[in-house]
Amino acid sequence: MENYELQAITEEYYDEIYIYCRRRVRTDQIAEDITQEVFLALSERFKTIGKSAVRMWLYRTAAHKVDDHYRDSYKDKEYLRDVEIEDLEEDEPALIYDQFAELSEEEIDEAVEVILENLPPDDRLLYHDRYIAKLSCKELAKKHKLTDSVARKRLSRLHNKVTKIIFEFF
Amino acid sequence: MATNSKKKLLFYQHLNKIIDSELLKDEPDMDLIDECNALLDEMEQGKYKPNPEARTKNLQKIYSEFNKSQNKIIKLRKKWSKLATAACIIIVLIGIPTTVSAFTGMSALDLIDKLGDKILSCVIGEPVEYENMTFIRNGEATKYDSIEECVKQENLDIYYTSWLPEDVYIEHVNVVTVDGKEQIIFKYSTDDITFFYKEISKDDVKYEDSADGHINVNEHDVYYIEHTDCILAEVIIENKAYYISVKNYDYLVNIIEGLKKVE
Repeated sequence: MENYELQAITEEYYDEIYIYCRRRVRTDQIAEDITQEVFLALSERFKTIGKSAVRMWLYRTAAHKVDDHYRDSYKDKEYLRDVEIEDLEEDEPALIYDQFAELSEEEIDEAVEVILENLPPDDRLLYHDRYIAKLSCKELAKKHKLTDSVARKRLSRLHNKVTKIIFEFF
Repeated sequence: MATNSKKKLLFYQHLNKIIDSELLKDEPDMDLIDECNALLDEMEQGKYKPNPEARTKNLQKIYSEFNKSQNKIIKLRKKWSKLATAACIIIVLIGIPTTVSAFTGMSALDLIDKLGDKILSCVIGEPVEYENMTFIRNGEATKYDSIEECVKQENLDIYYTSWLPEDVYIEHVNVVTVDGKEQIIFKYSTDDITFFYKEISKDDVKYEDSADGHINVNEHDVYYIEHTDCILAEVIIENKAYYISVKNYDYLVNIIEGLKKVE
């Protein structure tokens, strides 16, 4: 692969992958290092990845490298072990990523419940089907007897309503 | 009861978990990932966007590494073009079963690389001399019904690949002896795959140091180099080197995964 193609892909997806990593690790520096590793791995593997699959591959590789980071980083592990969710500042969401991955299902449900009970019934069902049952857009359209484009419009409106609820109730 | 700020963190976690669970699927719903990302963006209000200065610096670092690895590939390609040529000659050569008697330490690949034309033009049964080597084109071949039978009957203590792409089959298995060491070449019904093996000694150059990449398949370390039209890989098992040239990465993984030995 020529360098300019790799650079174009890196330019296009750098921010997205960096943000994915940053949401899961404690510092900007760690996120930068992992993002760099992801794109260097891409340069070694690009020929074996179809262009249409590059974005998915980048996300998956980033997910693996974040896991590797937590597996290898004793310091982070120790820090997270001692942290209590009550002690976290509101602006430290990345810190709960690993620590509470398995412990907080019920509490997560409680938070999701706030969203659900503040949505109109139709949107509640739509939210449930899309974000909990994880139906695809096509499956959603079929179930709710909508065309694909109407289903997408409804999801976009749902997005706005959820955002409003987040700012109003959280 | 969770406080509202804690609920916000937990909802944030819920969205991240949706993304991660999608990434574990064979075919992730990238639209769903985008929708979750959009909600996370709203919640963060740009908090996690990369700092522009750090971004520029980091991109420069990445591009400079790209350049370094590009230079490495160009260098390696030159080195490998010789091997690729040899591999092509092997493909032609093994269509005419040949017995090679060698008296030098020259490897079969170097030998074939140098002597492809001479070997191909020699008459069955008549020895051809080249420097201090003798080549005899062998017109006889034993036919076996399966690769397992061939490996068993010929007492070949090697791994062979039990996986092949649909409609591809082994046409010949050619055993060449160089300096008393066996080198075995499998000729397939397609040129997309080349598979051969040789016994190695500790002094032999291995691709480990100059490979483009390394993967581990079924606990076998595989070192590969990406050539213009194919991937050339080496896997060393029990002091024997297996060389595989394939059209794509999936073939390589499937072949390594399918390596079997007759017990």
